[in-house]
Amino acid sequence: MFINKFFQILLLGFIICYAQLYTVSVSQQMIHPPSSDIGLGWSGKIQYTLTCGGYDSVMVSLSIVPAAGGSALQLTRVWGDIGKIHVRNAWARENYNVFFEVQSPQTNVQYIARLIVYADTSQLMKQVENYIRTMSKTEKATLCGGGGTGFEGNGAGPIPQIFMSDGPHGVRPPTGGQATCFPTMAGLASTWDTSLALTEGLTMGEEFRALGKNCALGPAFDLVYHPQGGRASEYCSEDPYLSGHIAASVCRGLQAKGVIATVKHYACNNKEQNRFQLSANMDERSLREIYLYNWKPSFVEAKCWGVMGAYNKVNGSYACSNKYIMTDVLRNEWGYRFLAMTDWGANFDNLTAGMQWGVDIDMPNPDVYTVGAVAGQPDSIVNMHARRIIYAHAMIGDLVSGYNRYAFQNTLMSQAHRDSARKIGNECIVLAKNNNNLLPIPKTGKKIYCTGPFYTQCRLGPGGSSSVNARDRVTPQQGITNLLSSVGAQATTIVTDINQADYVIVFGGVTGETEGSDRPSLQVSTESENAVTTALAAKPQSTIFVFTGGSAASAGNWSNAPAILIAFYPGQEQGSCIADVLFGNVNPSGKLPVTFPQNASQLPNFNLVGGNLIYPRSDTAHGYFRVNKMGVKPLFAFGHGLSYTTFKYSNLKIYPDNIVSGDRVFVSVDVTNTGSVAGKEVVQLYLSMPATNSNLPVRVQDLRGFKKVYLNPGETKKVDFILGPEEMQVFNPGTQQYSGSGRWEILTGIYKVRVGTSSDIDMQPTLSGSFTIQ
Amino acid sequence: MSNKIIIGLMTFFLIPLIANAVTWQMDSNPFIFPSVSVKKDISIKENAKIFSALYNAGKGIVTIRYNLPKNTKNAVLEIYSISGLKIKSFTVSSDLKEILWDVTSQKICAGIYIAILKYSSLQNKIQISIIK
Repeated sequence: MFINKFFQILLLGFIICYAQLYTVSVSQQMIHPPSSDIGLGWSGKIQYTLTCGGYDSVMVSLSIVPAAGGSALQLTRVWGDIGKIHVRNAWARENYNVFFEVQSPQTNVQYIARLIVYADTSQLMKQVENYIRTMSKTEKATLCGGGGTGFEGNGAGPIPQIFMSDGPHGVRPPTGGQATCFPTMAGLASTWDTSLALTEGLTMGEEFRALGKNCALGPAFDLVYHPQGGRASEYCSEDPYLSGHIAASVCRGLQAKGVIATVKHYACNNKEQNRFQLSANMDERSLREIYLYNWKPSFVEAKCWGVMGAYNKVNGSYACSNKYIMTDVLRNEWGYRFLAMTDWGANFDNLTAGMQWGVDIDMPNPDVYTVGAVAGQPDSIVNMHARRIIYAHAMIGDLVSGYNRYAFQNTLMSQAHRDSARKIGNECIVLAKNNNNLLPIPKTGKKIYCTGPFYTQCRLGPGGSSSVNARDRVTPQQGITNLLSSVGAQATTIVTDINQADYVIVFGGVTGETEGSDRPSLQVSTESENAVTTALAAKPQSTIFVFTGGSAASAGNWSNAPAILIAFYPGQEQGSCIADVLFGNVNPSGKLPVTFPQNASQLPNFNLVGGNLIYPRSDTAHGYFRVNKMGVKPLFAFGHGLSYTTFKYSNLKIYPDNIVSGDRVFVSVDVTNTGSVAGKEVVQLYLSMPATNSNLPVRVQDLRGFKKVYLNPGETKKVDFILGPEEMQVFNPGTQQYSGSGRWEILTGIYKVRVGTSSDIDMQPTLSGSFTIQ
Repeated sequence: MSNKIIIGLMTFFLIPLIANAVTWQMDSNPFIFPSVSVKKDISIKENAKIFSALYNAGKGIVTIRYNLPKNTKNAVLEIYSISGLKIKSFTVSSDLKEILWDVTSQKICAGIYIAILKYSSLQNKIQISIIK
């Protein structure tokens, strides 16, 4: 403990590098024989303990050799903390895991695992240290503020400005201008497809650079705690696993184009009312297992280069100066080493507290205030903040001569980007209900009547900083008209008399979504309800409701429609995307990233108590965690989404089904398209932890894996998952909350695995099994 | 000792370490890939599965825990000796999640037994070790 603190103090002022490999061990209990059923050879796990402070380039290689000497075994697969690893708590002795698979080893012969750790400082880091040594304290302090148009991180000496722009789902240039508008994070999360999230990140990255911006203020992915949260529509999902993996892919895409992904709003930004004063108060287990769980993949796996602190407090301390979330977890546990900035004006406590415990850039304060305040700090503090900022510069490459921040100029709003927006938008759309296979509508020979407040609107997203000014917008009216006009003489027609129509399509949804205030109502808008009520009275068997907006609504007349599409702000091409699904050009494959409640009684508390938002216990939390625990059925379950085809799951396999703590489990299932059209299915894996510790009540189930597969009619594909220790652990806060005694641990007992099409355990297809941890 | 003095001392002694690459190599404890004669049946057939079969020597009872698809009424759980002789048969349903096999009433010998859960055309089996 003392040594750890000792090195942390040193790190404030100097980069001293130190590495030591302490132990390498193989547990005989974790060596498993091959399984032809699951397509796995001999497998096992190696654990090593390492301290690796200061170095930013750490390579780990593994070989398995006979103890008596001889050739190394051929590793067919190796994963975990191997190759170039992400060093977590650098100055502490940390455990790391490597899993391996080998073919045809000699049985009953002793082998050893030989680990080689090579630690070095990268050229980038050396360059950063050179700047730290040669720049004046005033120059380094200057970097810790913003200026210019209010969207530039200061430059100083040899370090250029950082050029920022809003844009969780498209660029919003500070000085105005247009860009391609992609689906919001909620829309993107509805695809349940990390490759599409990567595509959105890559495409947005090109647009940022086309406009000369090298820092994106996004993606945004606080959890959707309550659908009325003003920024719920900007965020991904209610589930931390889905949120974390979708957002991490967006980060990867942005950064591949040389744009800092500034993940926001860290953390617990779940209510807009009183947002500058409210405190998100919860127990430590809730914070760690749910409300911080979604952030880790972006920091640890995607290695994002920026984070923005939220306006709100967390447990009484402002997020930007909150030692627990900013230093203890973000820096010391996850090993995050790049820049952190405040939300605009969010450094409420005072500069010193904010700077010391978390943020490095106080946005968007003018230079004088920042320089004066930061320069008064000890050298070690100024160096620490400057180092993080310059390191992010080094990653985007703007310290190199000849750097052109206006890269990809010819791509802004290009046809390729429109195509990407449409492709992602198509997969956002969720078919929530389809009684009697009402959809798709035939493209020929029918009459449709279109109504509702949003038929002629292209709804791009909520108000506030996430709004994007798209040049190319396709309304549902345009999308439907364009599609039908391409069909020919027998095309289905749009009629103006509802009584003549074979189908009535109502375009409605929720309104009032913006930052700064919460959504006033849990229900869809009055205009939407009125429109659908009229439609149902005229055509009760053939009314289709198209829901647009950013988050869920409670039941109403709209949910009585026999067919419902849910489109969470699917971007500028939404009219075409919705038309594609309505008329069957695209088979819907979206799944809900949030629960649609029947009513408010299925939701957690959303009222402030003494200025604070009090969160429920971790096992009852919100969303599907909550309705599962309550034992009630929501209107539409998390993960729900239908298709124009049908799927069958079979042959669920879990291997091994009896393991020791720290080991991993393979799960595979065969998925077959049993319908007559091609389609995509999102296979979801839910894990139910054992309730073996009465002090650690568990949630009914947690999403711990998802994969989207494309299947032609009659085709079967094997879908597999790996459940590692990360997926199985719970946070034990110890004897006292937030005392530093909390630890991640793995409970012993029976773990239930369910692979299904939704979080609704009764929704078919679904298969379940179990494994035991001794 | 103030932080500044600590930093000064450490800087003096450890500055040479700055930016030097290091390599560590270490071998693990020996381990083997054990020979396996019987491959475990890992298939989970449509929710029909035996989770565990544990013998309590003090009570002379084997507790067999299983799962069946909802509303299953007439599944069969049979116990065989290692030579294939049927020892016991239970009718099981999805309402119960476990059955108890009293081995003292049948004077069962120590040894290996196999429990097989049969439902429709599906089977799942598990090995039971009885040690006296």
